[in-house]
Amino acid sequence: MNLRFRHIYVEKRILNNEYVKNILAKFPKAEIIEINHYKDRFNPYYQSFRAQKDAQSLILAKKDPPFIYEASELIQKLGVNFFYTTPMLNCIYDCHYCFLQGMYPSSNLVLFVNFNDFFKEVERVYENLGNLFLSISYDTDILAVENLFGVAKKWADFVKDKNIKLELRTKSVNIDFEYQENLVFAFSLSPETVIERYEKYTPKLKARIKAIKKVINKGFKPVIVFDPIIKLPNFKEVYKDFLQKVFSEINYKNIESIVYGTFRMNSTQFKIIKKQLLSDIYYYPYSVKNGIVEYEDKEEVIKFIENLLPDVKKIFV
Amino acid sequence: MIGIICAYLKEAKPLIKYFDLKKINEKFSIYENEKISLIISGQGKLNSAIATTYLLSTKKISNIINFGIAGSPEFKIGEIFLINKINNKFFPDILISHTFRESEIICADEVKIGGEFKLVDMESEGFFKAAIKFLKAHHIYLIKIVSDNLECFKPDDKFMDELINPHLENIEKFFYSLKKEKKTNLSLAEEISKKYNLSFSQKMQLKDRVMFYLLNNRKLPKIDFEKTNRKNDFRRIMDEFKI
Repeated sequence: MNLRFRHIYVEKRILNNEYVKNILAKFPKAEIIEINHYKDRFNPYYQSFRAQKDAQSLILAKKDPPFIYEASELIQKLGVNFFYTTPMLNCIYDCHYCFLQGMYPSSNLVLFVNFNDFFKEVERVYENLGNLFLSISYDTDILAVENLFGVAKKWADFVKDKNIKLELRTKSVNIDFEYQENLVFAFSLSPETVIERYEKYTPKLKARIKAIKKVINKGFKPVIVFDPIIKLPNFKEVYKDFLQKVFSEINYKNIESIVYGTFRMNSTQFKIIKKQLLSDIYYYPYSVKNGIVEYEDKEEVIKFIENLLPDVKKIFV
Repeated sequence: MIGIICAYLKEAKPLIKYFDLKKINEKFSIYENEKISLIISGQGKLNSAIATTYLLSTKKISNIINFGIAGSPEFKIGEIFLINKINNKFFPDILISHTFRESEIICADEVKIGGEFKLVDMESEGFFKAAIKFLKAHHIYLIKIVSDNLECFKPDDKFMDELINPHLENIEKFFYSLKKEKKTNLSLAEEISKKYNLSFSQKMQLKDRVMFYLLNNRKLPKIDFEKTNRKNDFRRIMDEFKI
């Protein structure tokens, strides 16, 4: 996608930050608008997440504490000290099933530039616990903008020689990293039909498979993520072909694990998104259990998928 | 319809002439054609907010624009701007491509004859605060033309014509580029619900199903069987709308 950022909002307190100056220099035609605090621009109720999505603005800001969070029960925790951090709010991709649409009032991209404040806090928590599993792409796709912002590289350097596993979950193909034992690439894959219909601006399946092969060749053992599994009307046929294709190209012995789960969402977020996004994903028959919207026949869908997965560590979420 | 709020008739006259707007008799001075409704608010934030509220409550407005003159200590007289920030705290959302320059503006309570700002007017904040009660920020715009470099003066019609007329073609193009919210036609679900006397919850389920069909470009089934009882009829209808 063409990231032009016609408007870049910058907090006054970071106008002289060198990193900020470098980012601004990449967008000489953008309108630079000074703001007091990113929330002044990001939080107002009178914005449209949906309308902004095709003309995203960039907001450069300084994050205030907290800098890291414990992961939610809705994703896999792997039995470790699973934390996540938010170097960026929102994402340049536009996936119909993304919960951020129901969470934020704005789809503008907020990039926090006070990296050292993040590092200091992670260091403090790490020293207390002794090990961490840290996702920096938990509710964004940080690698999707790596060529522009270089955030993942900064984090990769930070965790070098520490007992911190750094998860880079992505749909992108920006994987230009030297082998590093504690970097965990987690590639989200979907059938081409799902990508075309529901994952706007993301790389095609073929490109993602190619990226996975590349990191395997460098020595990484990536995680493959099939989440969310979308129950298309002909989903059995589509997912059978898809999984056959994936594992005919990627030797499952070279991957760390498979993470999989069906489409599910907090019901409040589901309702908000349904009002603003015209996507058939929100018009399937669902049931609501404990405030979570999920497929009525979720068990059947999962069973079908499990039968198609190779003999490798599997994590159902 | 596009709504336009002008503080003074003098600012509005070039638009009224160019778009051939006719005065209609209402409490406010309103000028209209089929696509545009223009209201004269009077000076100041409060007047602007009242007129904006009146227009948005009484007309079907998809995009609203505050059009007028502004003072500036630095820009040239006659330059036109689309506003991207008001008083450092309100942000119109300019998501469309346009040919204007952009600027922030300060909205003052009284006439300013000096200060550290780029543009100044007396209506923008009132207009914007009223408009966001009705529309999302990407349907709210402010177009300002620099009329003075903060000298006190009384513009006459000739001055305003010379100031505004050179921009009218671009303003018209801008109006035509504005987008309306798309609405999906779910009248079929309404009709079926009425015909078979469906409950509210059944109607909502049917609406979801019709929506699914529309989003997938599926041919909508014809529902024309004899009415029996609500439960059976609903089951039969949903069978016709299979996923």
